[in-house]
Amino acid sequence: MQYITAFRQGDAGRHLVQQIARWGAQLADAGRTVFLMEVCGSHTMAISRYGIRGLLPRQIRLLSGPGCPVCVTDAGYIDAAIQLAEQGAIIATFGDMMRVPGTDFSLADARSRGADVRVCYAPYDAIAIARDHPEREVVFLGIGFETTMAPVVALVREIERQSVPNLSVLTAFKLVPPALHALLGDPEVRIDAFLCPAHVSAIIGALAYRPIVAQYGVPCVVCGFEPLDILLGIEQAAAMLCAGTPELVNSYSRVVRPQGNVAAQALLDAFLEPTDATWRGLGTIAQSGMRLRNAFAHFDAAVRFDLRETPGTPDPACRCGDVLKGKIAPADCPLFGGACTPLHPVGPCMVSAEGSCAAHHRYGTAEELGP
Amino acid sequence: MCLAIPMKIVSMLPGGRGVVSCDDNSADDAGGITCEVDLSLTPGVQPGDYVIVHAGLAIETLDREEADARLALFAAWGAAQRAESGESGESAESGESAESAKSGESDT
Amino acid sequence: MTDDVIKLGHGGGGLLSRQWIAEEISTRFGQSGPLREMDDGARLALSGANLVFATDSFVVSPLFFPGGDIGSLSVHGTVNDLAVCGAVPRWLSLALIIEEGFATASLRRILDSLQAAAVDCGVQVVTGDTKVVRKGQCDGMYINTAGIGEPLPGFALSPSRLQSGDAVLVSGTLGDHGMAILAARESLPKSDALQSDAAPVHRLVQAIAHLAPHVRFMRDPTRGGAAATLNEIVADQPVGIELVQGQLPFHRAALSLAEMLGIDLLHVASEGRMLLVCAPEAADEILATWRRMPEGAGAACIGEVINDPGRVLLRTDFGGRRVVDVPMGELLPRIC
Repeated sequence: MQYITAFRQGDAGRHLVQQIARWGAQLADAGRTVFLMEVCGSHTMAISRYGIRGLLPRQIRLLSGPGCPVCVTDAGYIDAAIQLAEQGAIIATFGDMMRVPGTDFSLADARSRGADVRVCYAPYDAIAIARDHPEREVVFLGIGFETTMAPVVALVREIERQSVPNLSVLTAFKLVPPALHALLGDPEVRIDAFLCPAHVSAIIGALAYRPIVAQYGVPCVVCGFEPLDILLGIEQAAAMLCAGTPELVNSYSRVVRPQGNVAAQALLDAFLEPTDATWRGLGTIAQSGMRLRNAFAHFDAAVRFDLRETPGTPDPACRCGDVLKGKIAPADCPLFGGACTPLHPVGPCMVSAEGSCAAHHRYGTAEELGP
Repeated sequence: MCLAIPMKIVSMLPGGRGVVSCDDNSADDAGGITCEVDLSLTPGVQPGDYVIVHAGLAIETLDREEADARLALFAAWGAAQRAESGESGESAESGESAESAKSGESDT
Repeated sequence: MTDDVIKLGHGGGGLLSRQWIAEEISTRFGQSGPLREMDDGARLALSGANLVFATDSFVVSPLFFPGGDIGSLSVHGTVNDLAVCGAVPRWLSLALIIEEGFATASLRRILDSLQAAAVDCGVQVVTGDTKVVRKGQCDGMYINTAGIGEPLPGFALSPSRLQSGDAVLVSGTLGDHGMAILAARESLPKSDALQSDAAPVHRLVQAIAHLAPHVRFMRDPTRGGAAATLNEIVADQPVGIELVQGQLPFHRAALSLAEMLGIDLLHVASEGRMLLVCAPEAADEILATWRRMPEGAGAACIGEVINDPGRVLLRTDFGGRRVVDVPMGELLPRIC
């Protein structure tokens, strides 16, 4: 645990908070406020868990972007999974997906009504479930960004290698860089710098963000999920914004290589190809998803069960899209805390524990909780 | 997203898999969580190496030199902070008690 | 209640549980009398004698887990409910619901364990019942115990007695039981070091009974963990609680597994720990007394009562603060 707990040491954190305050003072002198978007749900969680928002000067604002693959999974996908369960399949899923609402029900609701839904820590665990129930179909719900694509695709590789005929995968993969481009391409969105995801970057490499720096002049800092990593990342972004020198900084070099994990990229490329994808709250983004190649169609649950996924109809009052793009804060949404709460979430931002609205609702906001 | 933590390789298994542990104490595994993970995407790793584990798969190796260098930097900042701040005694104590509260539990 | 069926989360000790209890139980049974307080045990008077009455049901799976089993747990659970009400546990009822086909050898192991726990706690099983249900029902075995205890003199326990500046103590590491149960299930990482903390706490209460006037309130952090319990204590009170991150005691193995699964140990059940709020001047002596006892070895002061109505906060190692929320319901591992 040394490489975890050591990155949470309080005194170094206080030092960084002071450094950040100095940049905040410079920004204040220049009459500027800057908006840093962290894209990754794990960043959102860590920021909330350590009360980091409350430690930042007013001139540096943190936005939570669409970095939660659970949150941005379309309601139609959940409906399809529930439909499979109602047809007698065993649904194997990550725990995160259990409370995501489909059009009417979540997987947890479906389980309460008799559906066989099982939580797995690793996709590989689905193989044992399939072996234990050879007479039933088992479907693993493969949602995630590039990081999670790796273990899910490794599962498909093993299904083929070990010949597990009653196991398939229902995929809903999304790519991070197209989402960043889509955000920056939206004239209403104000993002001055990105805190880039730690483990997506481990797969795709730090250099994946170079086009963003070049095209939009926006500093990008790849940083880890521990609080010291995040504080350092914020400090580095603030420094670049004060100096006006946007660059790509890899602040998580202990894990992220410039080119990324080449073996992982080769695995993903062998099994997957790009496709358009619907992001709950954001709409369809071209070529922002990945699907199994035709050669592996047999392992694709959508093909095996001839599923017609109907996109979900979002609640018209839901402002998640604007929250995900950083246009409004969670508290600005009229449904926040009233009709939309962690117990009864309406949209993706409240659905997952790491969605912006859920994190704010549970952990409090900076305005409420100064040091 | 992408919860993943550094874990130490304890032993290799056939089929590109291995056993990893959360425990850093190489002399004795008591107190550690072990699990079996897929090591196929981090070729060349050996027992004793650290890998970053996400959903049962090692997505990368931990570069310990980089990690230690970064920790040394944080340690220096921490020391500077304690020296600077008026409550230097208090901060050092709370930092130590946090570590001892956590490491002390391994003996129970 | 908007849900037309009961969900697993309704029994989880978190938000769903609280909502359900408020809407369905309090409305029917809690408008007056002891149930209004929603304490761990009811304080009753019978012909001039005072007693405390508590009940708990045990549906743990797996039935045998590292550090205990459903038998010992069923004794400790009710003993602890009585203990944190300031009572000496005396008598238990024992109701068994057993699945048809359950192995007699396993049943005997459980009953032996239950007997040993009862002897250790000084309680007598005085009445009971056994039912057998069809194969496929009740996961092998369910147990309910109800207990009667004799109040110790000097305790006047109520959340309304909390005052700003009071100390919040815990008798040992948090969340070991819940994580041990999780780790004992399939498909999750394993640990030999991760043992349930299931144990009786009545000796801890008796050891500090001479300080009873300084004790404001006690509760054991079971389902929903310390987060749920502390939130319950300050709900509707004019005070709140602030915890200090660096002072929370966690077992390293529990912490490691929690990190892997993205779980907050403050949300995880213990079955052999107690939380105690006391006047600040009594804290040191209570901690010293507990630390001399095996079941109190990891006792710590984890925070204090503050003037922030109804909220539980955490002061982080960096000086930041965040709200300690009531968990949702079910404990689920995350990958995100």
